[in-house]
This record gives sequence, structure tokens and C-alpha cells, in this order.
Amino acid sequence: MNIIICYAKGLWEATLRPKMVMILWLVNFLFAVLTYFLFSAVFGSVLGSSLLIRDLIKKMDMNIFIEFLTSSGAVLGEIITAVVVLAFLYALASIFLNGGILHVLFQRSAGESLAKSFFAGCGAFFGRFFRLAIYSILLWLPALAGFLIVDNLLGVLTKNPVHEQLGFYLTLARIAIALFLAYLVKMILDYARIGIVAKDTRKVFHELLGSVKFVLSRPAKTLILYYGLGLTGWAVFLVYRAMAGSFAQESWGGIFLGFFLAQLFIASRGWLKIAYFAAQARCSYLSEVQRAPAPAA
Amino acid sequence: MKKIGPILCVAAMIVSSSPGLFAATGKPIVNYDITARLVPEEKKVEGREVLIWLNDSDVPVSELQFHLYLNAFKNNLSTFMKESGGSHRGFKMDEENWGSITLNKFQIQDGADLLAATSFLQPDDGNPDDQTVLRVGLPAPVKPHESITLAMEFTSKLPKVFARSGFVGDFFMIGQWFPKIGVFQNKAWNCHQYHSTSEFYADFGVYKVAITVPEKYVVGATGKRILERKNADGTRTVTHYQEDVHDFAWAACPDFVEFKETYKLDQPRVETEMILLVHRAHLRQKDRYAGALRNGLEFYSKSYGAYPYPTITLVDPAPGAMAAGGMEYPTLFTAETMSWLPLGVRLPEMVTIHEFGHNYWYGMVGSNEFEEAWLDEGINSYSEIKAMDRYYGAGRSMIDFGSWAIGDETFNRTSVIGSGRFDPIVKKSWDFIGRSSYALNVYSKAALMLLTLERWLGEDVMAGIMRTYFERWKFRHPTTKDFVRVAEEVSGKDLSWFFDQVLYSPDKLDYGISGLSAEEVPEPEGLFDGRKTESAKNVRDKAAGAKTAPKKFRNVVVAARFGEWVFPQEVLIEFDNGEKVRETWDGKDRWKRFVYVKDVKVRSAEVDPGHKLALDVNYANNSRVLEPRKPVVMKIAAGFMEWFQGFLTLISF
Repeated sequence: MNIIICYAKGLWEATLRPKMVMILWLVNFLFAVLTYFLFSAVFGSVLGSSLLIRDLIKKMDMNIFIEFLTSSGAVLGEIITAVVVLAFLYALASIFLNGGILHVLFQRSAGESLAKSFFAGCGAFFGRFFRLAIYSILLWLPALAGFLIVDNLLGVLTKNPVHEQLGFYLTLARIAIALFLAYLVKMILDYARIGIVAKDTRKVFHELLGSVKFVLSRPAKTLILYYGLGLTGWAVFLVYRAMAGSFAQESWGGIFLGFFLAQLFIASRGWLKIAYFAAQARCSYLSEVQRAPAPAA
Repeated sequence: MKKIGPILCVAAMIVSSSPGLFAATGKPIVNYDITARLVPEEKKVEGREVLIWLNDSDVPVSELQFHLYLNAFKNNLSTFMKESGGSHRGFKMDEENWGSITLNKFQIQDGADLLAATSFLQPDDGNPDDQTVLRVGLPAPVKPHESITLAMEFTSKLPKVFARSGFVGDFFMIGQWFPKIGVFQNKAWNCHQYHSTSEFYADFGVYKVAITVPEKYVVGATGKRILERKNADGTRTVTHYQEDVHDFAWAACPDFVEFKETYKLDQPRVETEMILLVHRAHLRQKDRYAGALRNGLEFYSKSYGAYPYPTITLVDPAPGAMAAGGMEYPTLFTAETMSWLPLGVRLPEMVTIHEFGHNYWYGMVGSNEFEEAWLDEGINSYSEIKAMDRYYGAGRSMIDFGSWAIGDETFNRTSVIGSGRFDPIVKKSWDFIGRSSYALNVYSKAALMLLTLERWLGEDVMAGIMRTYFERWKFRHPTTKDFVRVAEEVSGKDLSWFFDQVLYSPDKLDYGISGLSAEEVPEPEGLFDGRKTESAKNVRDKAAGAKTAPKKFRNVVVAARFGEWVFPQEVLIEFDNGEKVRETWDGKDRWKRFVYVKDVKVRSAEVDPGHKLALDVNYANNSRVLEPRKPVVMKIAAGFMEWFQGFLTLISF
């Protein structure tokens, strides 16, 4: 029951903070918009004036894309480089943004503007969260080791190549296990960040250990909450795809509407990120309350 | 093993006396009678071979030359291993399991022992470590139009599957496994070493092969099974017989599940037994194989000529034996699949059609793969693209997931588009700068060349060329010149300008529109016949209220030749009012300008509007519009950005 409350509370808390959602969307947009200009410059210079793309507005033609990729390989290499660099910088930026989200959720003073509180939190906790990211290697390494052990065990089952079909299913299983472990680490780090901000402590490593203990002591609750929110994200994605596919994007208006919907979806990812923090913070808080001794009568 | 020779001889006589193919080729140059025993635990084949070779030339022959191709896998110093670097199509040679072929006995039947008179030679590269060609000196020359009968005993040690031969577990693919005589032509032996890029050239003849395997093994082999029996020692012997083929291969595995189906076609008349040996791990792919094979039989029979053999055997390599996949032998080929492969990925279909098609291009039309590989791989890739398009849809024949679809022609184009200008199509297979250059030239570029020719000459004319080439050269050894001769004869055109460029130069074909503009024509102004003429505009301005004259535009289209090859061009120009103008250009100069002064602006211009030039390495520059298509670019770029935005949200840890 507590989990449902945490889940609902998380979504509600996020819904109450549209400005913060806007900030998260804007940062994402600013990082990505560079790729728009890069890609449109390359694509436009190669195919923009060609009749070859006259039907692309109506339907996807991979044959044309394959030609484009083959003939523009060198330039596309530069785009890929830009994408990798931007992704790395965004990963750093997201460490920065996490402090802002949590600061607004926990420490925003009455009357303080959201932007001020958000960016104050970003700055205040960036150093600690960066250290946390480095310490997280201590989680990534066991996760990797665990994956390799499972990988080897599954490999024994498929040593005989006759079990090709089984091998395929086990490859899917490997992917699922790798994702599970990666998101497990991410979840533990979320609780560590929540602890750091809630207590405004500089004992980053201590909080990391505490969050490991916290998650391992109540795996069902934390995982159900985490994947419940994850499923919510998937549901939003499916709704977005259904809406985007319900109209033709063949005119300026259609293209703009499609782009607008996509941005709404990206904003929903920010909303979900806030919801994750809020729900997990609630879960963490409830656990603390339950653990605390009952007040004297 | 019991003596079964006499029974086999009777059976062979029955088969050969029936109306078969053999009559088509006259007297066979080679007549092989082989007994082979698979020893699975030692990964080897023990064989005995009796070969009758006919000297069909007008000169006496005092030495014979043989392919001993398993020696390519004997060590890392063979020519094959040096050329391939121990890796073939992404599969590495297992250095714990080398392969080889050893001659234990070599004599003229009931006559002189020749083993001491044998030596290895290396006609292609002089590599002294290569033992893939054997020379045998004869005590007396074989006179013109006389035969010699040789008796051999050999042991073929199989490598772990590499370059399509060998074993994986208890799966055995046995190709290039017996001493095979070269081709004596133009008063000399044509017997090349085994190279990493090609392996086939032999004379047509008769093969009768008795294969003994442990009883549990299921066997597939070239030709029709004429005898099968169990032996007292727990083995089984199957005997296969086939005329008018130039090689013999077989496969054995206890996990094969055999499916048989009689394939019939009325026009042209075809009746053959489809034999599918599907590994039990791939049973769910059986219908895909069968469907593709039926399509292949229909397409090639209708397009080129009736499939004449009584059987066609598809071998599905075991999981883990992909290195044996995608290989052709007469009336038998290896396909390729994975049990989980989705229907939208048409790898099994493409490989099945391609390898079956080799029964025509190299199997029956026996060109020299060492010297002119395009004659089998290129023509067959062209045939494959057409068959795939017909049965699975142009533009979606290889990958088909709804809007995510890619055609076979596109796959072939990509390798040509991105290629360097290193090699022409016609070149000895081992002389290409690398394996990828070999593949893109003899497979893809040659296929696109034929597609280009077809779209230029017309489908009917091209069909006539292909049919005539097949009919005239089946069971013979044609060369590139023979193909060109047929093409010119059937089309009634001199095609040397086309073939000389495309076959013999490494250059590229690329035409496009390099300039497109529409500028308003200025009205007359200045001195004319010594008098100053005022511009009409000024005159109009002075006469206020006068009606504006219609504007004129100078529309300029520049078509350009960016590549080296020359091909006549058609240029389609479209104007804003919908008017279309078609121009022709011989394509010889580097550029050609077309100018139109009209009341309307040009909207677009396009070279090769019929998309005939499959060889053109850049379709994007073939056309140009005056107003760039901004909405399309914006939509695509926005899609890319949205994808990246989503990706960023996933990595924000």
C-alpha cells in the first residue's frame, strides 16, 4: 500500500512542478538542437535539392537513407563525433541537474523562486554528486562481475551450437539482465542522492553505503516502485506514438505538430525523472518513519 | 564393405542410357568413379578414384595436372592462407584442425605407378609452399582423342569448417575433396592454384560416387541416388550418379532431416526432385528454404532455360558451421540461416536463390572463375536481384519490416558507391587489390552493369541475350568475349563502348545536374542602331496605368559528367507550369548546358529520369530542384533530433 502511495505521490509532486519540467526539457532541447542543425546541413546539402527525396515527406524509404549514409560517410562521421561528445556533456549536465531537482523537492524555502532554488541546488550538490558518480564504480564493478558470471553460466548451456534457438533466447536474457543490473545501480544512486540532499551531508560514501543497504533490505518495494514508474514512462511513450501516428506529417503544420508532440514527450521524460526522485524520496522517508521509535506517550 | 562395383555399373548404365543430358555434350572429357568412406572420429575421408580422361585436343599430352585443393588448408604458407590471412568471410581457420589431401597411390590403371612422377607446381604465384596443384609426368603421351585411365587412392583430412569445407561436430561438408583434373585447353593446362577468392574451373563429365558413412548419418550429394544399402559393419553406402557436371560435393550429418518434393513446371518443362537437408535446429526455417528454392527453379527455368538435372539438393549447415554456408556445387548447394531469423530478414531466401542460380552460371555455363569470375558471380548476382525483386518486391526484397525496407539492388549499390577505383571487373581473381575489391567488382558492379544494360536495351532484348548466352554456352567454357558477342548479336548493336569501359576500367559512372537557375530576362535598354532606347519599364513608369508586360526567365540547366565512364543521357526538365522537356546528350563532354527563355521558371531537372543507370554511384546529384525541399529536410532532421533527445533522457544517470 505504501508503494502505491509513494508512486502516486511521486507523480503528483512532479505534476505540481511544471516549471522544473520546463527547465529539464529546455536543457535537453539545447543539447539536442545542435544535432538538428548539423544533420539538416548535411542532409540538406546532399539531398535537399534532389528529387530523390520528393516522396520522403509521405513515407520512409530506407533505400534512400542507405544511399545517403554510404555516399556521405565522412561527413556523417563528424555528426557521430558531435553526438558522442554531446551525450558525454549531457551526462555531466544531468549530474548537475539532479542536485537542482532534489533541492527543489527538499530544501526550497517559502517564497524562493524556483529557478533560484533549482540552480542553487545544482551548484551546491554538483561536487558531491560528481564524487558519488566516481564512487559508483564500486557498484558498477560488482554489477559487471555479476553479469559476467551469469554470462558464463548461460554460455555453458549454449556451448553445443545445436541449441541455436536457446542461444537466441539466452541472448535476450543477457540483455535483460544487463539492463536490470544497470538500472539497479541507477536506483541505488538515486537513493544515495536523495539521502545526501535530504540530510545535506557531505558524507557521500556513507550515503552510498546506506542506500545499498536500504535497497537490499527492501528489494521488492524499491523495485516495484522503480519499475512501476518505468512502466508509466512506457505508457506515455505508447500514447505519444499513437498520437504521432494519427495524423500525416506532410505539411509544415503537420511537421510542426509532430515536432511539438515529440517535445511534449521529451518533457514527460523530465516529469518522470522528477516523479522518480519524489516517489523514491517518499519511500525512503516512510521507511525512516517506520524505523523510528514511537514517540513517548 | 561388400563388393558392389558390378551392381553400380549396371545401375549407371541404366541411368546413362536413359534420355539424359549427356547427349548434349557429346563424349565426356572426364569420367570419375569414386568410392569414399567417411571416418567421422578422425575427420577424414578415405577414397579411391578411377578417372578416365579424354584428350580432346589435337596435340599429344605428356603430363597431367590435378587440383589437390584440401592442401590449401595444410598450413599457413599455402597461397590460400597467405592471401586470406587465415580468415575467410569473417571466419578464422582453426589452427588445431588443418586439412590436407594425401595421395597414397597413383597409377595408370593396370599399368605404371606414377606416384614417383608427381610433383607440385605453382603456376599462378610461384609459392613453393603451395601444394594445391599436382603435376604428373606420363611415361607415354596421351594421343589426341584418346583416353587414359588412372587409379588413385587418397586420404582427405578435413579441416574444421573453413572456406565452406570441413566439419563442425558431426556435421561434414565435403567439397574440393578429391584429386580433380584440370582443363586442357589451347594446348596447355589451365589448372590454377586454390585462391581465397575463387575455386572453380573443370571439364564436364560423368561422376559416379559411392559414399560410405556410419548408419546414423544422413547424406546429400551431387546427382541422383542410384543405390543405397546397409553394410554389415554398421555403415551405409549411398551411390550417386550424374552426367554433365564438373564437380562433386557431398554433406553428411546425423542431425539432418530430409525433405523431398517433386518440383514440376509446364513451361518450360521441368521435373526435378527437391531434396532439403535441414538441420534439426533449423526446422522452423524449412518452409522458407523450400519456397525460395521453388522460386529459384521457376525464375531460372523461365528466364534462361529448363533446369535439366533430376535432383537439386539444399544443404543447411549445422549451427556453428556458418562458414560452410552459401556455396555452390553442381546440383547441390549450401544455404544459410539461423533458427531465430525473422521473416523480414530474407537472408535464407537470397542465399538459396543465389546458390541455386549457380547451377546455371558456372554449373552449366562453365566459365572460368579464376580468370573471369564475373561471368558466374556477376551474372548470377544480376539474376538473384531480379528473382528477389520478382518474388519479394523491389525495394524491400532483403529487409522488410513495413516502412523499414531495403532491396537487394540497394545492397549491391552500397558496395559499389563506397568503393575505390582500384580494379576493373575483368581480372584474375587473385590479382584484385583485396577481397572486398574482388567481391564488389565481380558480384555487385557486374550485376549493376547488367541491370544498366537491361534498362537501356529493354527487358525483352536483355532476356533474349541471357537466354541465347545460356543456350549457346551451356556445358561449354565461354569467356567474356563470348558474352559480349552474344549481347551484340542479339541486340543488333555495337556495345563495345559500353563493355570496354565497364569491364576493363576501374572507373565510375556518375552523371548529375550541376547547375539550375532561372533569372529574369532584362528588358532592352541602351544604344541600339545608334539611338538610345529607354527601357520598357521606364516607358511604362512614365505612362502611368500602363499594363505590366509578362516577365521572361532565362532558365539554365547544366548537366554534368562527374565520373569517367561515358553513357548517353536523357535529361528531363520540368517547368513551373507543368511543361516537360526531354533532351538528349551523348554524355561525352564534361558538361552540357540547356537554355530556355520562357514565361515560367524551371522547377526541376533530372538526368537519367527513367533510373536506367544502376551503375550511377550517386543518385542524389542526378536531379536538382530550383526551390530546395525544406519541409522534407526539416522533417528528417527533426526526427534525428527527437531520436537524440530520447537517447539523452536514457543516459541521464
